Amino acid sequence: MADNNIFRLENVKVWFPVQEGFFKKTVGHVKAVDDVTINVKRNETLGIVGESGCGKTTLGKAMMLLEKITGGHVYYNDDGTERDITTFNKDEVFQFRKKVQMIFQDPYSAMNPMKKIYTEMEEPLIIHGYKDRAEREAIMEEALKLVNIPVDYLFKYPHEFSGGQRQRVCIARAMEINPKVLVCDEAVSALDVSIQAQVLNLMKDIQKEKDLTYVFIAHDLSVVQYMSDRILVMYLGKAVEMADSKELYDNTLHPYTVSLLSAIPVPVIDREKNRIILKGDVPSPINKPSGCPFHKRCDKCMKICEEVEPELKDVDGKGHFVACHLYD
Amino acid sequence: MENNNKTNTIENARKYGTKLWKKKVRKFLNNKLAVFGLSVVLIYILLMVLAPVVTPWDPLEPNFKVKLAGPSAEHLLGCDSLGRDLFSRVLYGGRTSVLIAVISSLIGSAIGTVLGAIGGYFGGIFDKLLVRLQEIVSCFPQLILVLIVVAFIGTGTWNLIIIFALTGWTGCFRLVRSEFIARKEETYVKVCEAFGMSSVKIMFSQILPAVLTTVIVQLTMNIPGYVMQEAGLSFLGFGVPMTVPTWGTMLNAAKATNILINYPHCWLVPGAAICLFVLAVNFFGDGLRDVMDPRQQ
Repeated sequence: MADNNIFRLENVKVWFPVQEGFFKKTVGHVKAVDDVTINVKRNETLGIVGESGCGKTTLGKAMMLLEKITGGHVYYNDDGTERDITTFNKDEVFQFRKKVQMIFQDPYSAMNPMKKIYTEMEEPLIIHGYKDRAEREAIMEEALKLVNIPVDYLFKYPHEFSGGQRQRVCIARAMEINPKVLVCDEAVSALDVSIQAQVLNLMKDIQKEKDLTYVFIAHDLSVVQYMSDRILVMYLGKAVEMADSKELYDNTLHPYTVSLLSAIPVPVIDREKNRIILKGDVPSPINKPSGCPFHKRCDKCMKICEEVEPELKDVDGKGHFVACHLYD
Repeated sequence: MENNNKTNTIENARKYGTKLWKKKVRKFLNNKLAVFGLSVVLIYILLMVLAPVVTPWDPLEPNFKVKLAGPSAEHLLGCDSLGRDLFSRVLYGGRTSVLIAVISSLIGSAIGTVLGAIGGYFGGIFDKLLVRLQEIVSCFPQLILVLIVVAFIGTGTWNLIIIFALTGWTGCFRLVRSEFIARKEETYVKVCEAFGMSSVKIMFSQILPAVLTTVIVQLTMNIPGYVMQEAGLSFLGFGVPMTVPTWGTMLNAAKATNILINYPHCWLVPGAAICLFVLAVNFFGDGLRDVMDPRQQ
């Protein structure tokens, strides 16, 4: 079972200090990711959802070592042995970079506007030791074929591409060095809907072809449902519910997930919708409420919720995790 | 379209790729003022380089027979109070003036760019120290610095260049530093980090090329300033020695009241030379900025 996990996060915290005054005294922390314990299985797509500012992106970046991890451990298991990436030295980080790549949210800024696509795609290959130009070009050609971009686009500049094309080039660039895991940070939210579908299908095809593991971060619930095998719901830096995609939608447990799912628009006129609108705002991640982070907006709030923070527990023994006192 | 491209090879594609510089050249050539500026600057440079061919007169040799003579066929722009040919002096003097301006600007920009890149990208205590240093340098009155240096080691072309370079890097430093601070947060820098690119490589191959265009523009814009400063300092007698012809020393030689009133060509000629050059470089610099600035594409 443990061997099946490519990533295992244990009590991961990413806190950003809040500094004030002339001497930059640290007066508190923005707890972007607070005590998250999850696992990512090999060859699955783990969707991460949650509203803006709940720490989805930070969690993804932490897994990529692009954000400094304040506490906890991230175990990465590529060849059968689990290793903690937070203790990696420079060389190990470099090897790790080969295996885990990221697709960024905004394809418009993910490419250097000064450089041709050719240079853009060549650079990672040079870094990772492909010395022969012909070899590099063969790899680039293959990667572009994977995303259906003709090779003559290589000698154009990013501003000559449309958003969908750019995102596909970004995917091709990430795929060049044959990663095992692709962290997709809102990979399609900057694209319009028709192109979204195109890119999503492409990503599914690539996953089948290359045995990839996706960590798919998004705020669009229907996109996540379409893509993911399992879904993690985050709220205020905490993991509140994690389950198989179908199970999560059919048998929603956490009140926050219930209200989140009720927000999905349904293309049926006259259908009675039980839309749950949450009261108030998301509390500040600097001064989190005591107990359950969701208790101030929860309609099923009990006394214990205000005092004790619920833990993420497997409630049905089959991998439906939820952090809520209702299911204790 | 897709079908055509299946037969395409990378080699083939390379030939038909976008040539951004061609677009830029075309855009520059459409800007009439900039083309005018560039042509004037080129004519200046050509005349200065070919000075021995263009004019038979030695800029240093006095000839009292033609003292203060007005323009004539023999002396195109007339002669100064010692009978030296003014046209010849404008050309030879321009060599020194422009050289001082260009070299000071180059050295100053180089220092500013390197320090700004390091400070902006890495930040931290070193950056803070650099910013303080920059503030001290830009607060210090340049004239006093010039006086001190002149008092200790005397006047000279290189002394002037050193002072200009040591006081002139601050503008470039601020510019490059702020550009680096802004650009290191760009997603494409994060992408390079995710690929495992080293920070030095990110600095020089990712961020610097974008910043460099601004630096080149700034460098061009600095040149006329230095030409003016050289003229000003030489006019006061603190710049290059009076024996070296520059546009500044020429003006200095024409500062007697008698000459100012009765022989205006003595100061009009170097004055006009400075004016035209400064104007031309400014027009050129403006045009260059319009073309190079990545924000204006």
